[in-house]
Amino acid sequence: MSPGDPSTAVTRRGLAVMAWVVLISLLTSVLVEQRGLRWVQGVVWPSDLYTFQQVERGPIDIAVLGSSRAAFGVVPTSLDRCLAQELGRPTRTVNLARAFTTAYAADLLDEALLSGPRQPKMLVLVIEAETFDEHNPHLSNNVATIAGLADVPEALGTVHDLGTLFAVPQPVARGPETLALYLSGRWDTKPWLRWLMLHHGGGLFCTGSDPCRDHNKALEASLKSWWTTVATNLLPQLGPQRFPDYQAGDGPVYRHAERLLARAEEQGVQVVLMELPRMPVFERGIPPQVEPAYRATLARLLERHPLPHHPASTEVWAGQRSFYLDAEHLTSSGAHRATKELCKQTIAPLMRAADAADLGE
Amino acid sequence: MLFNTFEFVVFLFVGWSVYRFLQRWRWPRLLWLLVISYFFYGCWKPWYLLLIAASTLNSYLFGFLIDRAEGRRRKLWMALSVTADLLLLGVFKYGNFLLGNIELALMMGFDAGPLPRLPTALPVGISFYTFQTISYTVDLYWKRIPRARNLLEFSTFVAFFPQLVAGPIVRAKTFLPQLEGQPEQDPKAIGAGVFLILSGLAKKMVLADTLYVLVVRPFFEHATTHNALETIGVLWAANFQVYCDFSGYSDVAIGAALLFGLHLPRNFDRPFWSQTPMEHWRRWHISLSTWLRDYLYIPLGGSKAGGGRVSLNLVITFLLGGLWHGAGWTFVVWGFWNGLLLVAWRKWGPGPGKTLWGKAWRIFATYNALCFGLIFLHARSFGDAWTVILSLGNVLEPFQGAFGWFGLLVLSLAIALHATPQRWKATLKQAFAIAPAWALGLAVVITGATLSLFAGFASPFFYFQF
Repeated sequence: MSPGDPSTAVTRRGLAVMAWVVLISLLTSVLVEQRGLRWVQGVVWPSDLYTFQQVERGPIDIAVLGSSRAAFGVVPTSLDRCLAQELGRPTRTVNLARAFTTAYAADLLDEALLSGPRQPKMLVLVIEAETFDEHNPHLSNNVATIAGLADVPEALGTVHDLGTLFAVPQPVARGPETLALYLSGRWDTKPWLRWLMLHHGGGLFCTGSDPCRDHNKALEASLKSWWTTVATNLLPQLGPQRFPDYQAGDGPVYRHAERLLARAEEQGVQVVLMELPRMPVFERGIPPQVEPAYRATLARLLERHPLPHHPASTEVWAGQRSFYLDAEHLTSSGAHRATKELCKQTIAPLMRAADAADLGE
Repeated sequence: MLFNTFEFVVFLFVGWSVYRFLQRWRWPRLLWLLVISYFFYGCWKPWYLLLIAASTLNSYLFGFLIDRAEGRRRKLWMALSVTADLLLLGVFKYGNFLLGNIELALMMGFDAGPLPRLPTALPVGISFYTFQTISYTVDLYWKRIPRARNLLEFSTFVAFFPQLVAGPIVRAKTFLPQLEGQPEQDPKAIGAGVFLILSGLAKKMVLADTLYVLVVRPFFEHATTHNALETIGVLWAANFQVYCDFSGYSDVAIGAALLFGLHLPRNFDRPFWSQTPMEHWRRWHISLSTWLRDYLYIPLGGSKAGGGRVSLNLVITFLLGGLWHGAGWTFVVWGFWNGLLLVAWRKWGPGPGKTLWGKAWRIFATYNALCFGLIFLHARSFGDAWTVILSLGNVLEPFQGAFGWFGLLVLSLAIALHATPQRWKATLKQAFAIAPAWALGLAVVITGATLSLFAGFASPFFYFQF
């Protein structure tokens, strides 16, 4: 190929256009990260992580990370109320749960959002079998939407299918998309999410005021169709849709769980592993090989990091239809009850002991 | 893999770069083009590749036999090849439709129980590439084209990814010679290709998807009685939605092919400016219309037959054209309506207008007559279609808000863009063709970012279901 060759001219022009696309995207992504706009898309996730990152200056007592089930299932204001009664002092809880969060995403979120002045004293990590699934169908979504530019090289380790392969370069191109969302005001289309983050510590439900009651009712009413949708679309296909090739305990997702816990230990953050109840009909739909693999991974993790573990009340809650929005997400009454159980059985005793230790010192 | 995804951008970057690196060597270049085309198609479901490989082999191998035979034997090979292609299409596209109808007949006549169904979903693009392979076989039989020189070229012709799943339907006569030679080496084609891809995606994501999600889907999902004006508005929106969706897809396909130095035929020519239904079908989905004309209408006797036979030919062509669009009786009725419209217009309709007013009312009448047919394309059942038809008479019915202000704005934008002079588009395309690389890069990023705002409305390309 000579420089005067027309085919060289075409190739050069095409490559130049591609190089400019990558360069402009990359520069925009750097700018977006530097200006703190990276979490603008958080509004649709459904925690308003952008508002949290912009406004929150700490100190935070408890931070909650997990999937959409955690966003519904742990109510920050409910937890703070209960702890005030139990400990006789105020606490501050934030719920940063995000749809489809695996241990991989939890680690990245914790590292990016809960460091420095926002470092909590306690981290509640809401876990389920999906949290540790190396082949979780939503892992590509985690990589594409949560990983920052600096995480791209490491994200290569998550590649196990086409979805994750194509997700790896997405953080490079996410800047322009995020900037467009920000400039158009599209990140603020659900102001109630900002309201929850600003005044009630995030999550999807709140308690303690008439606006909260109205909000909880309105949200439940708007999600009324979930029950039927999940029953007809998800439950009959639960295995193939959620656990197409369940594999836990050996891979990048597990390593991120380890990394998160090791960092927490290093920084003196108390981690609590929490499970939320699901309806028995959901549990029955999970392929039989999933539960043993999940439990073995959890046992291995607990062996290496002896942590308090708050188990799910699935059996105790069986038949309590009013506690469930669908087969896996809780209603506000279910969430209040789950949060209360978490408070009384696990968090309050731990904080009481920590308070006593502080006094002793 | 959809055109409006990040995956496609990465795929195109990698596919194009390696292709250009290999461009001097014909065999590696074609092999790469075939590999990425099969990869593109296999991303839907890998087993679809078996179907396309079977269709390709069938036409290629029978092509050998047709080429060597004469007379009745030649005809026999052609008939066998076409039958095999149609059988493939019939089983995978119409199998369950047929079983459903047989079941219904048996239940009514003999009180029989339900029949089993084929455990297959419609493989995307099967209607498109089957028509492509049939056209090759028939053209070869008619001695209009020479036999494909080798399997690699032929497979690439059938599977070329930009047009594989939703056309344009490419003819061997125009495409195989392009594969035989070097790809076109015009640096301006890069800018022109980028322009077509971006404008096609904008048509699809901003106009078609928004109209579909905000106006068309809610209306047809719950077909209830509406005000007549509102119903007409929705039908207009539905017509523009299908047009923007499909012509947007065609633009992306043509643009992507251009990047690879290959030319695909134009598929739309501002169809809503047509003064007669005949003109509309010459401007709408041109590659299908000409296919039906060449391989169905003309062999049936075409317009030469005269009298009632022409009408019958037209109706048969459109009936089968309707069935090609989908395995359902509503599609058949849609095709029938369009056939009848053509017959009626040929007999009693006015010719092209000469004055501005004369042209305007013909365009208006043609457009609305075609919109009426769309009821059957969108309706989920005949009951729903009847409800919509009845709504057209409800002049006094109060408005039910089928159109929000945003839907109305998007429809107005779609109409305005359709009315834009062609030379404006040509000027813009030329500007892209000669723009510096940095400007093209910026255009890609800005357009991509803007289009991502419409991702909430994203829906698959309408013609994938066909």
